[in-house]
Amino acid sequence: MPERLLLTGNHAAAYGAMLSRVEVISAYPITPQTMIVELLSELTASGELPAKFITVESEHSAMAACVGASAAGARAYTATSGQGLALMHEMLHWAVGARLPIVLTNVSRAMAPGWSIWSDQTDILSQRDVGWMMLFAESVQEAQDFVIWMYRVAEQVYLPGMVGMDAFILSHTAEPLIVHDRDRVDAYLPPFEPLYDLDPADPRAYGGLVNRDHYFELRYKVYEAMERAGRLLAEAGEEFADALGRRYAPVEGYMLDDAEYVVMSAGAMTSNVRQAVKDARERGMKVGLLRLVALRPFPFAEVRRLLAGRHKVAVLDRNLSPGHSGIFAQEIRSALSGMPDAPPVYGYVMGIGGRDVRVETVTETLDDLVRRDEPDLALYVGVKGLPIGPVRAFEQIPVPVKVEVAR
Amino acid sequence: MSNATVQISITLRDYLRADRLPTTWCAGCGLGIIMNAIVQAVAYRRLDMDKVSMVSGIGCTGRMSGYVDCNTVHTTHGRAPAFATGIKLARPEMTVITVMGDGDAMSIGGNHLVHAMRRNIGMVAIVVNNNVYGLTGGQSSPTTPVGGVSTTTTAGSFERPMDLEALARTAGAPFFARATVNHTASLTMSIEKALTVDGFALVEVISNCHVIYGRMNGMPEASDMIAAMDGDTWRTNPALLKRADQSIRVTAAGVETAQELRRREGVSQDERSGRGVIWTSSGSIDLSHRYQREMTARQHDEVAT
Repeated sequence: MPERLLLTGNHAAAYGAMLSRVEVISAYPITPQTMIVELLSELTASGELPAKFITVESEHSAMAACVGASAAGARAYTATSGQGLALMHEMLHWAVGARLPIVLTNVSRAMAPGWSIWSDQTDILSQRDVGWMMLFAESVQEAQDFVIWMYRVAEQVYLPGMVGMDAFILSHTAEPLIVHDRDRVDAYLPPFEPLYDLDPADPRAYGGLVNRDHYFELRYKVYEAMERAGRLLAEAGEEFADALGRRYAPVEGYMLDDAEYVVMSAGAMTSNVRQAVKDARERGMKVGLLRLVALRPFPFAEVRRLLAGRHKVAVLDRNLSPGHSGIFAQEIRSALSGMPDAPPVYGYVMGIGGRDVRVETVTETLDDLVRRDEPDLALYVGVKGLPIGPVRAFEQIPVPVKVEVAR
Repeated sequence: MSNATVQISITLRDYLRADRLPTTWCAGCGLGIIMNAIVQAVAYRRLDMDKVSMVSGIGCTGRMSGYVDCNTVHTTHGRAPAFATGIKLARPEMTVITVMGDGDAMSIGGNHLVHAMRRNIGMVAIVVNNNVYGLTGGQSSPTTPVGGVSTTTTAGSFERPMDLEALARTAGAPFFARATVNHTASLTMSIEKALTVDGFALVEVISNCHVIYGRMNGMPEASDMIAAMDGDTWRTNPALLKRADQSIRVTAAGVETAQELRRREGVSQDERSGRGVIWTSSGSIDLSHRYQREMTARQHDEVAT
C-alpha cells in the first residue's frame, strides 16, 4: 500500500531518491537544500536505503563524486542550491559529455551578493545550456515523483537531469505526500544499466583528448539524445499514471480552452497563478494558464499549439537575464518565433530574491496585461515605490552600430 | 575593575556597528567572545579601523563581517582567503583579517587557505573551529571528531578530523596559534600577536556550538562545552577528547594518531588542548598562561595611562 505522509518538499525529494534506489549520494550542505541530504543520511545510516552516502568538501566535489559513481555503474544522486549549483557548473558539463544519467534536485535560491537564501530561479536557469534535462516541480508530490520520472528518462538517453524546486515555498512547505510502493516504482524504473562500465577485465579510457575530427560528432550525439528525450519524457509521464497513478507532462494547461489571455509560469508560484486565473475567470476574464514543466528538452510543439491564436501572453519570470529579459519569456518568444498566429509576449519579472508572489500580485499583473497596449521585454512587478512597468526611463542615447554593407 | 569595564564598553561602541546588533548568533555562542577578542586586539594594536579590512566566508562565522565596523566583505563559502589576497595586493598597507569557520576554511576553501599560507600573503586568518556546520543545521565538518554525531553522521562520524596546525606547518605559515573561547585573555593576545606578523598568521579558535553540535553530543549547554576547553576538564568533554585522540600527524615515519604520539613522546594532554600552542617561523613559543599574565599587566597599563 502506498503510504500517505505529511512532508516538506525537501523530504519528498529525499523519498524520491530513496524510491529510485539511488546507490551513491554525494553532497555538501547548503540552505535551503540541506534537509534533503540530511534525510538521505538518516535513511542510509538506518539501513532503510542501502546506498553509499558521503559528505564531501564542496559542491564541485559532490558532482565530481557523482560523475565517478555513475561512470562506475551506480545510480548517483545529489542535491544543491544557488551558489552550490553555480560551483558545480564545470562538473555539470562533464556529466553531459560523459553521458552519465545523474539526477540532482536543485532548490532554487537567489544568487549572491547580497546574500539571500530566498526563492529565485536565476540559479537553475543559469545552467540552461549545459545539456541537463530540467523539470520544475510545483508540489511536494512532484518533488518526489519528478526524481523518479527523471531517472527513468535520463537512463534511457544517458543524459543527466535536474529537478528544480523553489526555496521555502516548496522546499520547506509541508503537504500530504503519497509515498509509492517500492515494487511498483521498481517496475516503472528498472535498474540502471550503464552504457559503459568500469570493468578491470575490459579496461577503457575516459575523458580522453578529442581533436577537431571527433568532438563535433560526440556533441551531435548529445544533441540527438536530447531531441529523443522530448518524446521519452512525454511517454514516461504517461506511463507514470499507469504505474504509479499520476500523469505528468512537459506542459500543463489550465482553463486554456477558450482563453484569450494566457499566463505562463513554472515552479511552485504556479499554484498562486492558478488561483488568480480561477478568480479572474469568475470575474469573466477569458484567461488560462500554461505551466511549463520541462524547460529542457523544450516542448516546442506543445507550447506553439497551446499559444497559437491567443490575444496576449504574459510570462511570469522569477529570474532575469540582465540586458535582456526574463529567461522563460525569452524561451517562449523563441518558441513562437515565425509562427503566423503568434500572440504578443509580455514579459513580467517578479518575486526576485523571494519577494512574495501572492495571488493578488498575479491578479494585478493580469489587469496590467489587459490594459497594456504594447508588449514589453520585461515589466517589473513589485519594485518598491514603482508601478508595474519597464525600467525607469532615462535619456535615450542612440547606440552606434557597426555595420558593413554589401556594397 | 570598574575602569576596565568602562574601557571595554567604549571599545565596543567604537568598533562595532551598533545598529546591526543584536547578532544572529545563538545565546552562549563563542563567536561573540571571538568578535570581542578581535576588536580588543585591534584596539590594543591601536589600528585605525578605516585601514582594517575584515573578510569573511559563509557560515555563522561569516556573519561577523556584518557587525565589525571596518572595511568588510562577506564573501562566498571558502573563498575568503582568495578575496583577501586580492585586497592585500591592491592595498598592501591595509591590515587584512579573514574570519572563517572550520567547514569554510578546511573543506570548501581548503585549497585557498593552503595557497594563501604557501604564498605567505599578509593577513590574519582566524578559523573558528566548532566541529560542525552550524548555520546549515549541524552537518559533519572536516573537524567533526570520530564518533561525533551530526545530522549527516547520525551513527557517529568515522572520518578522521583535519589537524589545522599540521596543515599550517606543511603549507609554511609563519605563525600559528590555537586558543579557545574559554581562555579569552590568551585568545586576545594570540590575535594581537598575529597582527604583528609581517606575513600570514593563522589563529585557530576552538569554539562551542552547544545548540546544534553540543545537543547531539551530550553537551547541550554553552557552559558544558566551554568549561571543557581546559586541560583540567579535558577528559570530561567527549568531543574534545575524541578530537585529541583521533587527530593524526603525518610524519616521515608514517601516520600516527595523537594518542600514539602522546604515548610515544609523553606529550601532555594540555599541549594538544585548546589552551594551545603558538609557534612562529622562529620556533614554538609556549603557551597561554604566560600570555594571560602579560595580558593582565597590559590591561592595567591601559587603564593607568
